[in-house]
Amino acid sequence: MPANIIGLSCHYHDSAACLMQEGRLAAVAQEERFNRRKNSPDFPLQALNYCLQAAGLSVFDLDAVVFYEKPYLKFARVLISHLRAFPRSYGSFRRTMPSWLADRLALPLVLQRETGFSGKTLFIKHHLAHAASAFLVSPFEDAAILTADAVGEWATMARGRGQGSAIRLTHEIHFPDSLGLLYTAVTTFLGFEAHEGEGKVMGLAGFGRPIFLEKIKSIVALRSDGSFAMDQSYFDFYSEDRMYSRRFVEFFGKPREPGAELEERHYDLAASLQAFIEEAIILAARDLHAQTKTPNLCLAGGLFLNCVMNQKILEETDFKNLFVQPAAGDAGGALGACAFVSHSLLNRPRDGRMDPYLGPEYPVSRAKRVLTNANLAFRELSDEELYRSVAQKVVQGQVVGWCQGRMELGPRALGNRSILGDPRNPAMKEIINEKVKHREPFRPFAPAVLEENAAEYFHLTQSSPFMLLAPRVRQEKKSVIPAVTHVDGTARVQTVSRGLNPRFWSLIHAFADLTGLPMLINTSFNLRGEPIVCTPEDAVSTFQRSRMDALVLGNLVVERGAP
Amino acid sequence: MPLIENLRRMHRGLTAALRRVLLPGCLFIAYFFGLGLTWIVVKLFKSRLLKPADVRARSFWHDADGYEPDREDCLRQS
Repeated sequence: MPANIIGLSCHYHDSAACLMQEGRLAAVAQEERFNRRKNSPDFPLQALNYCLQAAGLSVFDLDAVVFYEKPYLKFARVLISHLRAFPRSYGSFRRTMPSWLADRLALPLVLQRETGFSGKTLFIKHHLAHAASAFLVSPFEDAAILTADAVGEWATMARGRGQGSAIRLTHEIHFPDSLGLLYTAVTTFLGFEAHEGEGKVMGLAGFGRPIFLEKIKSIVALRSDGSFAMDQSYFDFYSEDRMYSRRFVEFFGKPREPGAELEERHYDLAASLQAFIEEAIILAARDLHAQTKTPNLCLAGGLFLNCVMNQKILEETDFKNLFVQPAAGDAGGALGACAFVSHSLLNRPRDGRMDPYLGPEYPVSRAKRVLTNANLAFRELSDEELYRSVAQKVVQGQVVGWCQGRMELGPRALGNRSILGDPRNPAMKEIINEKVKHREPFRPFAPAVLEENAAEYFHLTQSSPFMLLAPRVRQEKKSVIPAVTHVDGTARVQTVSRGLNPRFWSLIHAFADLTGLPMLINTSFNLRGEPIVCTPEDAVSTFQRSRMDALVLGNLVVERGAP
Repeated sequence: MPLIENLRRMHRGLTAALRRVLLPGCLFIAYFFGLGLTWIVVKLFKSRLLKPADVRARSFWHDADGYEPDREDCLRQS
């Protein structure tokens, strides 16, 4: 039986589609990149169409579509949760029920309506999709698995083991006890947007002291096996714009208004939250290691986009090898759903290789047409000329938009839709912020370093190809790379290997030839509040609306102000 | 076919208006009569549905099930 399997995640946040053919990842993309709405929860029609197009298939060639959760189970949880919070939950009930009734409970019909697909639609549990997304594309034959996010059906966290193509999750924590929701509640308390500001809180934490840790522990009971229970009187998961209760405000003080000045207590609360989450997850990981005795750990779920915590797991538990796939959040659920059916149900062999560059790419003819239509002069260079020319621009302090080949998966740009700068320049963070990103000044920029040189600069014991580890910068190197060293002495590292991304590797190598430093600043190619660019049109539009110095589309180079 | 197009547009408008009026009403009834009555019954019988976790428990991990599905199980939405 052939096996063209599509996995879908949607209707919460970070919709995505993923195609596996004969157990091999063929295409994967997030809907936000096409509809240009960040973290879009919409049905991923454009992402699905892209996956089919990339493989030259139509929906009639699909053997199954797999959804990343069980809608009826989740609906039962939603109803019971509204019941528990009666009558406070009326606003939430009124807001969420229409989409449940119209779309979420009728996914096969939605699929048929949107795509014409009338074949088998399969459903697997949310945390099984997460677990599969981590383990089945990992290089491990045997690994412990830990998943954690806001909430799936009932589970908010799960643990177990993967062996061969089999996954066995043995324990879970149930809603409303959720580390993901705790993190989001504090994120909204600190004036940032839910599902968007969590990374900002992680950056903020580096500036604070964990002086509220005991206070957090007094409202979240934590056990030595990493399990926990939250005092729900401090939280309100049914309000429209915040997730904490009046009691939480009485306990921690006035919440920060969005955009208001950050005070010391905000930094300290972020640091305390980060410390608590790290402690809980490290306890859970240690307990899991004691049970499984395997040196390998696979992590998935939105909580594990927290690279600072991932690093601590590696440093403070007995696990030797960590694997987190690049779309650890809900977008990765699409990947996990089709990986589970392909490998665990249909027994297609695993290849143990996660290639994140499986999004769309566009022909040079289209890039030329877009540039010509935008009246932008460009030069077409050979590969070697391109690497040298771009490296020289970065050395000169320029900020370069770099758009190459197939788009990467996940929230972090991994060298195919990136903005690049010089990590040696202490002012580069401000320059990139002023010219393009307009991010909060407390957020660090990440280094992309040649894999073979990573250990010279960072206390890194394994590769970090998806920018999901934050090791300490070696003391003697901090002054060498000030633009990527966070205030706490860590850096959110991407290790770049020649095998996985030869063009990005060659560019960094060219920069090293000029400077002796095998590293670039790598931040996502987008403007604040927008998704990462996908098409040449998106890249040109972003270039024109920013003050970036140069834009590179494949081998075409555009310089600002060039005739 | 402007007439058919106009009729379609009217139909769409009417449906949208009805939805705007009826949906909140239906949801109000479903919430306060459906969930509300259930809430009273559950309160009266002190069901575990409304009880929070026992904070004295030695561990808050629950045994997991439904994580080793076969093809038949995967066809179900629950």
